[in-house]
Amino acid sequence: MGSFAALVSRGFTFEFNSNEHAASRGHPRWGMVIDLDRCTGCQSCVVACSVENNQMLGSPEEAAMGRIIRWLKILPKTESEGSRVRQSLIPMPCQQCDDPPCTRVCPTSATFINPEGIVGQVYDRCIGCRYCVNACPYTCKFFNWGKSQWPKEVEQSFNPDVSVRDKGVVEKCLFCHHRLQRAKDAAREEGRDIQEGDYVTACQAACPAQAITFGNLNNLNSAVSRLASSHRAFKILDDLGTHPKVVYLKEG
Amino acid sequence: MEISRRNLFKWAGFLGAGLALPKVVKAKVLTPKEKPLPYLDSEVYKPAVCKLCPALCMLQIRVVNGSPVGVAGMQGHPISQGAHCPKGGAILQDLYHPDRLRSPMRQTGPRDSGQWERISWDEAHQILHDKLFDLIRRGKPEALAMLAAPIRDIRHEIQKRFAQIFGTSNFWEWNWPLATGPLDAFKTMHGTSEGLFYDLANANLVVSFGWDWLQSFLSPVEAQRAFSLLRRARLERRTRMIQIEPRLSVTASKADEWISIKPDTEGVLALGVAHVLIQENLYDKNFIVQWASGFEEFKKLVLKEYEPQKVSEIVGIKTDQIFQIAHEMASIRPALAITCRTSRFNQIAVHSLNALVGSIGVKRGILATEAEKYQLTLPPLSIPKPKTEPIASLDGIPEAILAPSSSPIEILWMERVNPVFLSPQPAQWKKVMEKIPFIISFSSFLDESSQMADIVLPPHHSLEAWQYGFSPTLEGHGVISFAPPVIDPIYNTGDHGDFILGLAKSLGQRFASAFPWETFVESLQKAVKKAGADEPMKKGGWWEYQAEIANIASTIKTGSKKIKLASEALTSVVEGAQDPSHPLRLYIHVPMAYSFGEGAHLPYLHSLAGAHLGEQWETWVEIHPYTAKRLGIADKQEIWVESLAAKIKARARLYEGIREDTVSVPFGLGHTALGRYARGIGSNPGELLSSEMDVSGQIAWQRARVKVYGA
Repeated sequence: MGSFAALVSRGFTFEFNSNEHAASRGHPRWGMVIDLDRCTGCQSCVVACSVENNQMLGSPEEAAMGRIIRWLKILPKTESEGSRVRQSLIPMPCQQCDDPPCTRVCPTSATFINPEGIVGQVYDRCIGCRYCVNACPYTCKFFNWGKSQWPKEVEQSFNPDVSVRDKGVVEKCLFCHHRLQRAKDAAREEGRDIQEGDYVTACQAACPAQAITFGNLNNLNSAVSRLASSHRAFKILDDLGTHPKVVYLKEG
Repeated sequence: MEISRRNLFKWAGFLGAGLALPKVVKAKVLTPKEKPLPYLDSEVYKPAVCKLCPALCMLQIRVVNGSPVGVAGMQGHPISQGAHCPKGGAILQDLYHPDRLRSPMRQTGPRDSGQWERISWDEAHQILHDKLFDLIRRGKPEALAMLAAPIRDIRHEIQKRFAQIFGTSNFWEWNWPLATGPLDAFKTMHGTSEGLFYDLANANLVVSFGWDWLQSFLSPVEAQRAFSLLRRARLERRTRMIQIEPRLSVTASKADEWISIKPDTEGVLALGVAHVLIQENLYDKNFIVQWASGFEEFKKLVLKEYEPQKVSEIVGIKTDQIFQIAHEMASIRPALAITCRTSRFNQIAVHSLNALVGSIGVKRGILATEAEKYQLTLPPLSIPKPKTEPIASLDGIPEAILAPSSSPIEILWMERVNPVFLSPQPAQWKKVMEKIPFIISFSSFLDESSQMADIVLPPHHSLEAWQYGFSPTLEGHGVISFAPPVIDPIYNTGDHGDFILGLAKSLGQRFASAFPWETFVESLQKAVKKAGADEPMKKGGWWEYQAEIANIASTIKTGSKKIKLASEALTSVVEGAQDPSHPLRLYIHVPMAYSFGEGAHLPYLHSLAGAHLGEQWETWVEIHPYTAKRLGIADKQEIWVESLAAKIKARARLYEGIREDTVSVPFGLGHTALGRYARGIGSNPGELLSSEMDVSGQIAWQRARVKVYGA
C-alpha cells in the first residue's frame, strides 16, 4: 500500500495536457457559462440532470448523512453586513477543469480528461478509493455509499444511454457526454461536422431563464466563447490553477 | 502516454499486485459492475401536456422501446419555450410512482382506516349513480358538492356542466392562494377579475408586496423567463425590483432591494405608501379623476389612519423606507405593485397603489386580455340557475358544514384536490369529511383527503390519455395545447371525462341530452372543429391566439365604470393580538419544489426545497441567529414550534434572512398519506394556523403567532 500511495503522491496519471492538446489538434473544448444574473435558483437544471443521468432518488436517512448524489447542485452563498443580507444560489456542475486535480490521484485511471476537455469517469475502472473525491476542491465528485434503491416501476424510466452506478463507485457530471456521442453520430449520418447547438446538456435545455450557455470554447464565434470573455466572467477558486471550463457571470 | 522507465515500473508494480491478488478478490475487482446498456429498438419523441400545475406547459417525452425515459420542454411552445420547471422535469416519477393507484378502490373499514378493496369501474359507476339518483329523487341537488382542480380543459368543462345540470351551485375550484394573483382585489375594485394580468415581462419597476413570485407563480416557467428578460435580455433600462417580505426569499435575494416587514402587514405598508403619494401630491391626478371612484373617502381614510410614522411601527421598518418606496413609484412610471391572494385587505391596499400611480390599462402595468375567449368550450346549453345559493365561499366551507347539526352536503365529489392537507388546520377539514355521508375522490394517489373518501377513482396520468389545455401567456395571449396519449394506460385507470359522460347517460334524458358524446375525445374533437384548430390536434401541438389587449375602460365592469378605491375592507388596520406566551410571528413560505402545496410525493423535488440552507427531505424552521441565541437554540437542533392551535417538530436553521421577531417554515411536507416518499416526512405548518379569517372571509395565512423551544 505504501508504494501505491507513493505512486499517487507522485501524480500518477494518464491525462493529456488538454489545453495544448485540444488547441493543437483543433479539437473542440467544451465549456459552460452560467449567468448568475439570469439564474433564479429554480433548480429545473438539477432535476433535468437527475432524470437524464439516472441519479439516486434519495431518502431522509441519506440526506441526514449528506449522501444524496446530485451531479449538479446549488451552492448557496450568504453574506451579511449589519442588517444587510445578500444571497446567491450558484449552480455547480463538475467544473470540468483543464488541469483537474481528480485525475492526478486516480490509481486506476477511472477518471481522466479526454481530448475535448471533458473530465470523464469510467465506472467499471473505479475501485472506490475516493482519492478523487477528496482531491476535488469543488466537491463535485460523489461516492456511492450504498446500493441505490429503485422500485421496479421507476426503473422503467431509466435513460438507456446512461449506466446506473453501483455501490462503491464514484460518479460525477460528464457534461452529458452521451449526448455528444449522439450528436456526433447524427452529424456523421448527415455527412457534416458537428455544429453549434447540436450538443446541448440536459441542464442547459431545461433552464427557463436561459442562464446556461454551453458549447465549444475553442470556437471564438460561439456564444459560450463570447460570454466566457465577458467583463462579468469569473471562475470559482481560479487561483488554485485548476482552470475550470465552467465560467460564471456576475450578478448585477 | 510516454513509454519511460518510470512508467514501466509503475505498470509492472500494478501488474504484479494484480497477479498476487487472491482469486475471489480478483473476481470481485475485475467483474464489470455496470449492466450493459439496453438495445434501442425504437426511439420517438412525443408531445405531452404537463398537468402537474395549472400552467399547462407542453413537454417533449422521449420514448424508447415503448417506455417514456426522458423529458424536455417543447421547443417553440409559448409557455414552455423549450424549458420546464422542476416539477415538469420530474413528471416521469409521477407516472411511474410505485404507490400510484392501480384500480378503483372502495373503503371497507371506517373512514381513514386504510382498509380498501379493489372494485371495477362499473361497480364504481353504479354506486355513484345510485347515490346521485337518490338526491335527484328527493329533490336535493344542492346536497352534492364538487371541489375541482383549477385546470382548464374540456374534462373540467364537462364536470362543471354536470354540476350545473344536476342543479347544485356548490361547485368550487381549489385555488392555491399563495400562487394566485389578487383576484379578490380585482373583483372588488374592477367589478371583475376576468382577464386582468400583470405585464411582468415588460415592467419598469416591480414592487412586490409579499409575493415570492419566483417560487410561487401561476406559471413557474414563465416567472423565471420574465425575470431573466427583465434582467438581461432587453435593450431598455434594467428593471428595478423591490421585494417586501419578512424573509429573504429567492425573489428577495434576486431583487435590487429587500425590505423586511412583519408578516401580514403588506396592506398597511401599501396604505402608508399611498399616504405619502397623496400627501406629497405625487399621485396621478388625471387617472384618478377619469377612472377612479371613491377617492375622497380613500384619501380621508389613508391620511387619517396610515401616517408613515404609525405605519412604520406596525410593519416594523424605518419611516424613510416608506417615503423611498413612494418616491420610486412616483418617479419610475408606470410602477407595478404586485401581490398574491392573501387577505383581501392586503390585496386591495396594494392594488390601490396601481390606481394611484396610474398603472392600470397601460403597458408595463396592469392589463386586460381577451385571451379567455379562445379556449375551447362545449356547445352552449340553456341551463336553469340552481335554486339555492352556494353554502359558502371556498374558505368558509368547514364552518358551513360543521355549524349545523347535520351536514348540508350529502355527497362530496373531489377531483384532484386535497383540502385535508392544503388547508389551515387540516384536522378541521377532516372533521368536515367525517360529517359528510358519502365522499368520492378522483385521485392518482391515496392522499389525506382520499383516505377519507368512500370511493377513490384513479384517472389516467396525463401521459396516458388525450390532453387539451388552455392557458394565457404572460403577455396575455391565449394558448391551446393538445397531446395524444404518450403511452397506453399502465394500470386499470379510467378517463375522468368518460366516467362523467357515462354517469350522465345513466341518470336520465335530461343529463344525457346535455352530453351528446360517446367519449371525452369526441367532445374534444367537436370543440376543436368548431374552433378551427384541427391541425394541431392531429398529432399534438398548440395554437397561439394573439389576443387583443383591452384598453383601460374594458378592465372595469363596475356599475359606475370606474375603479372603486374606497372599500370597507380597508377600514380595519391589521395587527394580530399580542400574546406574550407566543412572542414570535410565523411566516409560511412555499418553495418551488412544493409550489401549489404539492410535489412531496416526487423524490427528486425533496432534494431542492431548502437549497439556500442545504436542507432537504425534512422540515426546517428559519430563525434569526440573535433570536436563536436569546432562546438558547443551536443550529440544526430539533425544536418545537407551537401556536395556540398545535405544535410541530422541525429542525432549527439559523438564517440571517429572517426577521428577529419572526420564524419561517416551508409548506409542502408533513403528509400523513400520499405514498412512501411523502408520508411521515417533515411537518405541516398548516396545523399551526387558526381558521381565523379577515373581514372579507379570506383565511389569514400569515397571522399565526408561535413560540419555539428545544424538542
